[in-house]
Amino acid sequence: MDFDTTFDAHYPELVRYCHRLTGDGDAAEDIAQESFVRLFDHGVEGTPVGIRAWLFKTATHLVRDRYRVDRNRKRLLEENPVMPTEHDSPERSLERREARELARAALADLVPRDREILLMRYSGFSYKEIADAIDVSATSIGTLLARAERRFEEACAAGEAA
Amino acid sequence: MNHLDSATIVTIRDGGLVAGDARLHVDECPPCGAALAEAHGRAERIATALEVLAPERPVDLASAKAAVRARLDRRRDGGRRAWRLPPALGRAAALLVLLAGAVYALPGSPVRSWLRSDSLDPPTPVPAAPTLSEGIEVPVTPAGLTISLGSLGEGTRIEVRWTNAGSASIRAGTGTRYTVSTGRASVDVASDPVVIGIPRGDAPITIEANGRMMLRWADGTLDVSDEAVSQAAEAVVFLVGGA
Repeated sequence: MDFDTTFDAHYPELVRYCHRLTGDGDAAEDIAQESFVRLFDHGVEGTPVGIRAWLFKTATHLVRDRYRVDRNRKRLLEENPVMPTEHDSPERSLERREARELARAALADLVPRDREILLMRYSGFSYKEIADAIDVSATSIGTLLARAERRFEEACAAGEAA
Repeated sequence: MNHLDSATIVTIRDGGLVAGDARLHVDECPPCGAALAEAHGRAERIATALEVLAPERPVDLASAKAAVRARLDRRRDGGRRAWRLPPALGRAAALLVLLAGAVYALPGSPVRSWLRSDSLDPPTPVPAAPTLSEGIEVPVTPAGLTISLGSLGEGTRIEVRWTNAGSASIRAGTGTRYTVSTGRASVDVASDPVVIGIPRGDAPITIEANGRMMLRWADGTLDVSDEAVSQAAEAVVFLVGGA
């Protein structure tokens, strides 16, 4: 397995996933890097699809471990500062900021497993890969995902109404 | 056929495995067809909502690669270097010991007076370790044992170790109350850490925390909950998610 090829293929996406899961940019990079360290340190081999699933599973567990007793998780998810991009107008920047805060608050309202299922599914993973990563049966993913989606939308709607 | 439930609709939307007649049904049933269309719409809305959660700064691949390589190097070298004194420091330490010995041998040496017990400063108090109760020992019969821990606060640490004893041992913070009946030990935990020793053997053992299964050993198979934060051959550590 080539270090550069594997890193280039999966690192940006893994950081994005960890960032959505934690709401903390520094923690996201740290966890993504630790996942790669374990990948190469353990000599994990497999297809690119298998390697990707392994990395996301490892990162999911690292996030769980890090935030299991960290009561700041919800605060981080809700309060992470927003940096407007240089191309955004002030109005557009404000819209993006509000959309971001709404999505973060809605994610923070989900229980960890629902959040992991939702984010893995919307990162393009199959039901089987999600089931493997979060240690549930593949046949229950449809039920869990439907519930996670409903709760996420309800939380978004409640946030918009507030 | 009844209308499809939301899980089946979502699974069909995502191309997952469902019974063949479910796909036929959704083609023929207007309410289920509408539910599938709504599920597609929900997926688009959620994808859009999540899209704004990109990292605030662009990923710096070169720096990240360098950081990972440095961590790998540290990890691979760490074990070899951990307890090795640099050669120059080792030689200096040996020289110091020899020098101190030589000075001690001289009559009236200040080293002698330093080492006299009545001239030593009182020892610095060491912070007390968390006080554990004496705990209990519970015999494990072939029928097995269930250890039920209650009143656990969020973040309570539970350490489970395998032992070669014939009985299980349970210890927790002072004030913890223990109740034992046949095949069951109930523990009302006052404070952590909770340390449990369980014998290696064939008897099934279950550990519950706040009513949730933490660990189950049966038929040579070990199941642990996702509240386990570390798992090794000799011990499993859990941090409880709260009551």
